[in-house]
Amino acid sequence: MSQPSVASRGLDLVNEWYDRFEAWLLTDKRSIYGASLARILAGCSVMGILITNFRVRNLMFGQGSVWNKPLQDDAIYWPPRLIVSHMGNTTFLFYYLFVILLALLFVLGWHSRVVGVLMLIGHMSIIERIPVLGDQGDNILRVGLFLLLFMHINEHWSLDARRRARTEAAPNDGVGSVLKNFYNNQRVLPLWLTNGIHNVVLIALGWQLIMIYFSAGWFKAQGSLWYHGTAIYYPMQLQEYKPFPFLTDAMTHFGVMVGLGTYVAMVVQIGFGLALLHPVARRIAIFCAIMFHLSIAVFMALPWFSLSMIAFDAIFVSTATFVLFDRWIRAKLRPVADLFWDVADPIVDKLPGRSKDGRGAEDDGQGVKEREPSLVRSGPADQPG
Amino acid sequence: MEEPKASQHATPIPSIGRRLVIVGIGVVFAIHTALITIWIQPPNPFRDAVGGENLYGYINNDVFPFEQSWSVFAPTPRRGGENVKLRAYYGLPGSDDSRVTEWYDITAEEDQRIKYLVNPSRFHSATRRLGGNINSTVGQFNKRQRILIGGSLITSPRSKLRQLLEQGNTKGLQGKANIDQYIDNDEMLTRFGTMYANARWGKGVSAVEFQVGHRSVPNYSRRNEENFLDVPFTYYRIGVRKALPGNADAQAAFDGYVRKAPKSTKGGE
Repeated sequence: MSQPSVASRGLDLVNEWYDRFEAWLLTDKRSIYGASLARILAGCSVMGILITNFRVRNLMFGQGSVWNKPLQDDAIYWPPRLIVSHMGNTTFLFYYLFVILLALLFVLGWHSRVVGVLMLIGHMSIIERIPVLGDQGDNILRVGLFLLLFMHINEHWSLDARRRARTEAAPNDGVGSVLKNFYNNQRVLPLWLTNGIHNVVLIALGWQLIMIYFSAGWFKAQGSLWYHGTAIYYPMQLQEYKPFPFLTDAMTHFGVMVGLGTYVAMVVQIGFGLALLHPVARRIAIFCAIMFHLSIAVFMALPWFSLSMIAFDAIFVSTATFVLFDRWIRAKLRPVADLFWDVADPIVDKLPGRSKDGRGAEDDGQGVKEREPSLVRSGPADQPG
Repeated sequence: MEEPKASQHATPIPSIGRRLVIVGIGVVFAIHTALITIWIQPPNPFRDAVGGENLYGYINNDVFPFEQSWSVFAPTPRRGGENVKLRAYYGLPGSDDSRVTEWYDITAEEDQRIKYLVNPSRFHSATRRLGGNINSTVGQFNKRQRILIGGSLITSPRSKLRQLLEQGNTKGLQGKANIDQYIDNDEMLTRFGTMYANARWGKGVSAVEFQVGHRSVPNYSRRNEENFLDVPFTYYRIGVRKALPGNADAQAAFDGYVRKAPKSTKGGE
């Protein structure tokens, strides 16, 4: 019997990889824990930015931001021009609070698809009012949130998941039932389509992040101060990046720390994408990236940029890790959650339209789908294994 | 370790028609992703192949811009900082009945506010950012242009200054872009300074004047001997500029934020 040729074996391998990729892309939604965490943290970033600037909102984004007029006139963003530019201080205050509320609802996963769109437009309408003070944190948050809107971001840790578990999907045979399903966060579009879109956009977001890291590292590699290992010392001396002078001085006092910080930043950024290909290297890369951003948050006073990056990095964390984390935190928070829901449930049950017969996952009858294991009242099945 | 629960989204591989729909969506996102990749990398042959203007047009589109740049602190990290000093004129500058306030370092005041703050508002960096922008543009100017920006601009419009700067331009399109950037930042600083001065020294500011100071971080090898904050500023002056006040709401925003000058200094030097 003749052996298969090298070319034939090569083609078989390509076929096998193609089949695996096709199955990955089309048969299920991937990284939905990561997408859910990305929703929560990105929403926290939006909230954090707005709350941080609350006191100076009129100077930054409201009528007081007229000092920035030449750039406002040339800005390419339409939400600030159409929505915010004509608001007086009082109207703007209410609008500002409304967008903070939207961000909170997005974090909680309350109608996250609609709220997400509104929050993104609201966030852009405020933040892009001040192009001269814009930074890359705004850009990644805007682009990342835009991509998240195409993904399934409310599967876990969301009120949408609770509503989905509490209600039943109606057949999508009319506008009314489609709207009802949409409101209840039940399936409106077919699975094959939503799975495909979710996974395609997941790849786009992942690639966007990999390219951010790579280009940031690549630019650094072209600078002499970076390969001499002294680069991070310079910006860390500037007032705006030195919130705790004693901490920065203690770090920069030792040349080894400066060198370590400089090289680790550059190497992690350049190698991040490649490291994702191996399970162990991936964990190390994600850990280093999170540490890197936490350091930036504390040492350079850039918490919201850091949180945004960490938010989107969450899509690279495996489901198995999230399941472990979910169970651990569920066990830790159970007493608090029980207390909260003991108080909240009787109130919630009195709201109009609420089912009072306890129908849901606990009394799953025939064909009722599995209940979302959210951070509430976990049954025995959710106990750590 | 226990396996995660079975997914509620699992579905068999769809038909060829449906797969083609997903492929179509994938192609759209693949093109988008490729363009983003080319845009955020350092200058490269792919950018030339796509065409700089095409790429710019896609990234900065009118519907949802994907603008981003990741050359932060690279290749050369920031090695210096700018402070902006302001003083205000009441009455026509140079006339007998005019008065002028003392110089006031706005950026230093903001630095006091952000100390020990891990989440400072970016507003505290406004004058530093404007000063930095002005510093970088003035650094590209020739001697004649530097003399021009040191002149006063009280009765003439800002377009006159632009015209004069363009007459002195010796660097072609790049020089023109630099002038545009300077004029924008000059106007922003004037607007900011006018409202700030009205809030600090009282209403009726007729003109403002600035000094932009720059200082560099001590070399790494001297980091334990020299402190950045002890490095003296090198200042240059931007001439007197006619005040550009905002509306009542804009001024109210500054009034609620800016610390009022002590009574004794309100009258000026």
